[in-house]
Amino acid sequence: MDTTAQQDFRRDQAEPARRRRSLRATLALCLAGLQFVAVLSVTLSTFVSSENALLRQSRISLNEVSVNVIGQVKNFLNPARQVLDATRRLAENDVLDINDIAALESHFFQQLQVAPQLAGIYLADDTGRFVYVMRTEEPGRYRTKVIPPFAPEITEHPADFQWRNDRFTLLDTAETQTDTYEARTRPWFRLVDAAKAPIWTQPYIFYTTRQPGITYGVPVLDDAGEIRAILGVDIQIDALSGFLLDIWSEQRGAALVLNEDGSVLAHPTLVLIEKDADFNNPELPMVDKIDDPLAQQAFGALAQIGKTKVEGPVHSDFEVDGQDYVAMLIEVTEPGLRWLIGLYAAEDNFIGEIKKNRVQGIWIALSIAILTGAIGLALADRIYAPVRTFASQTQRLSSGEITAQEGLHSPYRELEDTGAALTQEVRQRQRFETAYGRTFDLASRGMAQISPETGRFQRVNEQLCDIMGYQPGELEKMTLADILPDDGQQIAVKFRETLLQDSEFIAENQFNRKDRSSTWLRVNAILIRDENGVPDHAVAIVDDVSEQKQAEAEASRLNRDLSHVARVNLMGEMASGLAHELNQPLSAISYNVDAAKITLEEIGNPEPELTEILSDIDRQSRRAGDIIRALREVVRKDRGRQTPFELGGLIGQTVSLMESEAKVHNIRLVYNEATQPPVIGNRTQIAQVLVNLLRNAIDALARDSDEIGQITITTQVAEGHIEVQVKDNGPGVSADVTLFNTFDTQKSDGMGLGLSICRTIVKANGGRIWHDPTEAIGACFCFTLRRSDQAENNT
Amino acid sequence: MTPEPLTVFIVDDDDDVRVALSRSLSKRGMRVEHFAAALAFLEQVGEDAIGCLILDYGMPVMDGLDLQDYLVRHDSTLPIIFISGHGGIPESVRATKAGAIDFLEKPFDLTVLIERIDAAMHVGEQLRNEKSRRQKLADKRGLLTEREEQVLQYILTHPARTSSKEIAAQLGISPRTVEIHRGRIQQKVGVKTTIELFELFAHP
Repeated sequence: MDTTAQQDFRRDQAEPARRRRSLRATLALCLAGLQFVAVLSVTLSTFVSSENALLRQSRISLNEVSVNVIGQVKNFLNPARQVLDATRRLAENDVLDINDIAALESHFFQQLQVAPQLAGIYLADDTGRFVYVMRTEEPGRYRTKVIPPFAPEITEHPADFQWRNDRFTLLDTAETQTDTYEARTRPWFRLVDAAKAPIWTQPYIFYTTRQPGITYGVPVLDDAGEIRAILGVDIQIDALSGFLLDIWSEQRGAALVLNEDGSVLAHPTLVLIEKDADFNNPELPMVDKIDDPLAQQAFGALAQIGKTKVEGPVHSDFEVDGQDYVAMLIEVTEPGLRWLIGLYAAEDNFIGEIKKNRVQGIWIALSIAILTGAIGLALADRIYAPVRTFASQTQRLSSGEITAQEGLHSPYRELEDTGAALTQEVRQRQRFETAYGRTFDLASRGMAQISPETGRFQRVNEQLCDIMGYQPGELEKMTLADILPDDGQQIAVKFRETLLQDSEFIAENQFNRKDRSSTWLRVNAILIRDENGVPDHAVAIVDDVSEQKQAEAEASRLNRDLSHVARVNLMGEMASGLAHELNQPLSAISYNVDAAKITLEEIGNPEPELTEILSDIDRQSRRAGDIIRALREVVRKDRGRQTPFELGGLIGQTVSLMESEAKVHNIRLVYNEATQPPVIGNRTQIAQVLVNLLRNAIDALARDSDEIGQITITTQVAEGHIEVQVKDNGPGVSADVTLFNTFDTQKSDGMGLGLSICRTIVKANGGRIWHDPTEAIGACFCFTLRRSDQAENNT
Repeated sequence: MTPEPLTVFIVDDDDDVRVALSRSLSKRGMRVEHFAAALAFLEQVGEDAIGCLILDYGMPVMDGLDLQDYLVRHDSTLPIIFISGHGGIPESVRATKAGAIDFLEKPFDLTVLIERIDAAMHVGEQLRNEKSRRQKLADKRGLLTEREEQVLQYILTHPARTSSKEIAAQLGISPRTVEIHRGRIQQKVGVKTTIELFELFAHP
């Protein structure tokens, strides 16, 4: 096999695998899969785009919250400012006498009741005087502290305390001499004194309540612009924290109040300033240090960057423990105050519901996708059903379960058309198969389908069974090797190899018949491949060539015998011829010597030496004769057994033996075999005669090449014998040749023994041989052979 | 040796052999005639020759056996001695079966040939005598009438039933007539008894 063919073979085998995708699967994949993918992609894109929208929405919500927070913070701080500013204006315009303690107390009391977030209001001046109204820890209970002026150096001085309820009813009074409060050293006093303008203090620990807080301070100026007194209002930070706590009821969110430097002023839940912190200058924790990981995460960066001015709201988002958070930082400005409000919250706080809806949406979409996918599958199946029916019908048609007459039908027009074409094809194929089957079964020669790999007979016809002597059923269970003799097994191997190389297998060999007799078969086989190029079966044509083989064997035996006989005859004839030719003169010598001796005696008184010489001559001639006789005895062989045989068959074999020789010279050998009685003689010797006569004729014709040569052999049955005629259309026999004489020849290279041998043989076999000179054209030699069924009368 | 030497005829296509042989035999006092071919012999001498024939077996046109065949068919009394350059056993058997004295292969010893010639001369004489006797008998039988021949025929073919009565019944004539015929037959042939008649005709 050449390489191209091998490649073709492989490609052919690979082909079906590539084509094996089912229409059903394709349809299902297209209908269901496409639907699924479409639904899913719409959902996912919604999901992705909503993600951004949601984030935006969160920030907007946070912004709204921040606005609220800022408002609240401002509302928280504003009353302090408004209260104090109003009080200052009253004092500066002398509506309120700042030296009237009772008026001040009353005024402060009223203010505290208006603004619940205020812890206390007070007035101080540089004499050390201090009037202070504050809420107590007990709700609805207020305390007033009045310190009269005292010298700054004095650490302990007297002070009066009064407790009232929210209806200003005096509940209790107290006084002390050892008060240590010095207003002039407090931060707010110093700041206002220095600035001569309203200020906000940094958070610090309130003296009285020991709570952290901030103070708003304003100066009360006289007409000259000098400070007469300083007013202050305290806001406790925990009140701010409480407010911040109110913003979100949910856990995952907080609002912080921060300083610009990142320190935390207020936190909804955390205690920021311990009560035992530095009294005047407590340290605020930085935002990245507080015990709130979410705040650290959201605003830690602020602590890092320090006092960088935050402009406008700054948004950020982050994720902690799988939860998304949004955060923002926005500034709150009050005169003399700049805070940052930090807000963070879990996204779910704003969009939890939406997210939930979204997940729900995906699940719904998924369900729809699966549902539609299933519907798609069902639909695909429904669309495919007629195709499947068609396919199974096609298979049944090709396997012969249904006939081509029933045809293939389908609701689809395309399939119906295809079915019609296919049915047509099948009908055609069935016609061919029927024809093939009939040819196979009725062939006059043995035929078989054989597996090329195993050599098994798949199908055999009657003729092959007749040849082999088996029943079809028996033979179809056997392989080629089973019917080959032990020494012929290589034929089975050669059969497989030759066919698989796509060559024609031709072999002649002996095969075993069922009765163990052997027969010569000629097997011709070719390989049939299926449509994929895979070897399917071999078709073998088997001929019984036993008779032909036997004829060949006989012919070759005859040929062998002939050459032996020819040699023997040639030698014998030569010796015989020589003997005859030499015997004559030797005899003559002998007789002449005898006559000479007698003559010598007649003369009388013969010379004794002469007599002796003559005697010697006589002896020597006899000796020569003896030698020749001995030679002839040695060469003379048994003329061979004479048996009855079929002359026609022998002539036929001889003709075929000489056919090639004749063909070389363009000579036609004509013999019409006819049934005739058997003759008796030595078969091989008679063949020799025929060969000699034919060869003479061929030689004669070859010398005379003008004519188209023809040699005709005819036989004629007569009483007691059969006459054989060998006639040619050559130049004939020239007059000066004596036929049948040893050493007399017309050929340039012949010895003249052929015809003489023929004569010897024919005579020895009881026949006659002669040349018939009556023929006008060419030469005609005839000889007779005795019939074995009828003795010749005249012998 | 007979007072009048009989002729020895030699037929051989080989000139040397023929001439040498005839020369040698002539020297021994025989009358010899020789021919190069069988046909020449038949033309010049024919089947009635007296003597003996030394005949070569292998000759063209008409060989020795052919000539022997011819002579036998023509009731010749000439004895034949075959000589042959390549005589085979089948040929010699065939020749002697047909009455040849001998079949000698060349080169043969002359003394053997001379012996055979003597024997042949003797055989030839016997043959001739026998032939002349048979001739005479035939001549005598030729004198018989048709009826006499019928009677003789019956006697020769039915030796057990030779009574005149039986013969008469068979031939449809009277025994007396048969008796007369028998007497005439014996008279014409020259015998006295039926026994002699048998001896004369039964083994010709």
